[in-house]
Amino acid sequence: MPEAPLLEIDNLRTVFRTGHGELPAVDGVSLVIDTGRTLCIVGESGCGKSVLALSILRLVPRPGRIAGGAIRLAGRDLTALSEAEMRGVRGAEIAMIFQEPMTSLNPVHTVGFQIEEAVLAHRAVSRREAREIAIESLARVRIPDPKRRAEEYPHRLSGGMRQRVMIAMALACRPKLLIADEPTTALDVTIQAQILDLLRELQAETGMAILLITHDLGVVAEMADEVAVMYAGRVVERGPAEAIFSDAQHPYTLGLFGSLPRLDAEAERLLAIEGTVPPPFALPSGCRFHPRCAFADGRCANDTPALRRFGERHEAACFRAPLEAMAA
Amino acid sequence: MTAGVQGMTGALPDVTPRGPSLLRRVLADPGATFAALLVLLFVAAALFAPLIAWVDPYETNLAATLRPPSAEHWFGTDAQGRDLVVRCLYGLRLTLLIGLVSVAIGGGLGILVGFLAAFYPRLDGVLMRLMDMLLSFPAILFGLALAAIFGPGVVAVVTALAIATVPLMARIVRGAALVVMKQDYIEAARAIGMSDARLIWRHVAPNAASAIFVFATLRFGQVILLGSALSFLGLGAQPPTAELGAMAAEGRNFLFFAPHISVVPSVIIFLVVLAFNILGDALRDALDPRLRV
Repeated sequence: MPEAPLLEIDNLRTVFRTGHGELPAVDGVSLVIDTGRTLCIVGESGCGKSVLALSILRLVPRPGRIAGGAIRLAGRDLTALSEAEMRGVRGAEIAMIFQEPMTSLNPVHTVGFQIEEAVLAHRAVSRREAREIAIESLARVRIPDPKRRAEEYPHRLSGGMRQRVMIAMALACRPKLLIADEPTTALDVTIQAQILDLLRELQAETGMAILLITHDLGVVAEMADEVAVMYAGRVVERGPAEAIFSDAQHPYTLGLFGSLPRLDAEAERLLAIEGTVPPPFALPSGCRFHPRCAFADGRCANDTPALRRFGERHEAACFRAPLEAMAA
Repeated sequence: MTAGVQGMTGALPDVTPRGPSLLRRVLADPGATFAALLVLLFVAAALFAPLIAWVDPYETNLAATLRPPSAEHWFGTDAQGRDLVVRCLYGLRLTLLIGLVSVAIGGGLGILVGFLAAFYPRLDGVLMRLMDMLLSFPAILFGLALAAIFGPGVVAVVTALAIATVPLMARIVRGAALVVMKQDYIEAARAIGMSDARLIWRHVAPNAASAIFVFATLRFGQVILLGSALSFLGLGAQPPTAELGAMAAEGRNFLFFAPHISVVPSVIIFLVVLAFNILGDALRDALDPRLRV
């Protein structure tokens, strides 16, 4: 057996305790990310992408909690670590950047100081050495004149610059995995492209893995090595990016991508997916996508489809797939 | 932290300064300038009282009792013939000290309770209900109770005022901290592995600091008033100790033929409280980013 993958999520369940009982936001998700690779998690708002990301860092806000499964980082189960041990993982081995660079920096400290704090949280260095590492990190994210920028307060920087600062902070301790939760959603298009380019360059330099959460398929096409499509807390399809783009099997994936199966009659109905993701307190029976699915039949409403193989490492959870077979 | 650009390369256009300093913004308001000068004057007078005083504040002179203000005794003399200028200097010293110590102790405990309640939801309910209980007693009642237990005196007053300050400060700090903790940068700081203590110290405290600072200033004025009231009621500093509230109380028997004995210390208390209130308001305006242009 080859060595353990960098990150292996195994049947993860994250639930929120509410007035409706314990509701699953992430329900039996399994994923694997290897060093140097980029995994994109795709799905509509409310499908559990962000909760999955926060679960990996064990930062799910109350009343949420990880109710089952394992998250193994290089073979070590993060769900079994103490809170203090987990703090040692956050930032040092797994770092995260967020959607809103405008509010992810504290307005009362200089950006240099905030990066220093990230360094000091994990490394026994002096404030002066931390400052040097901070300036180095700012230089790595291609911020011009980093020594001077380090003295700036966040409100003086543009959104793109702040996201660069966030990346510098996340990477200051050279983590092996970077989780990026919609890192470009709040930025305008040209800046988006710059940030994505930067992430790719940094990945090439450091060999880190990236877990990229997005609903922007343009971003997926540009960044992904692997893709996992999530719907209502479950992975409905996963596989290499080429396979997902050229040969998507799950009707939800097809709907997301707006691509057409060779089924002329139903083609038009696939272009847009009717309705919204069901809330966790009103999950449908069987396949959670069946009320919105153009292909659903009686079985879809009763039984839950498991992931089935359709190609090398390409799996989808649909009874009806491959849809081409239906025409035959 | 200075906006230090020393030793930087000149590659970027020169940055503009970070706007006027806090002091400058406070002093832009003439009322606040007046209040600040008054506070400065009172603090200086209290600090240097022993150096300024030309006679002993406790030296009696039965040949010159109840004298009205004159060239010799600017504020007049009291029933024992003691010079009221010197007694007021010492009284101010003790009054300000009572205010400072009780706000420092009560405020400090309040800050701790507020942060704990905001940061640990498990403690929140218990701590804040405890604070509610404290809030339901007036400070005067604490003073009465403590004076009954420990005997009247400065310690009883300071303790009562500190206890009365804790819940107020705790509520303000908890509120400010809860607002800060909803910010994205707190989650970002957690995601880089910062410990709770560091998170409070580095991120929550600085953002709550202006609220704490403003409340402490305003509370200082209130506490001095309350402390004087307790002394006036005979629960605080005991005669012959020079304390403004106690001095006002001593003069009340002579209000009709020697009103200055009560009036002078009362006016000083009034001015001190007024000055701290105006200064507190000005600080709040200056520190509130929403009011900043």
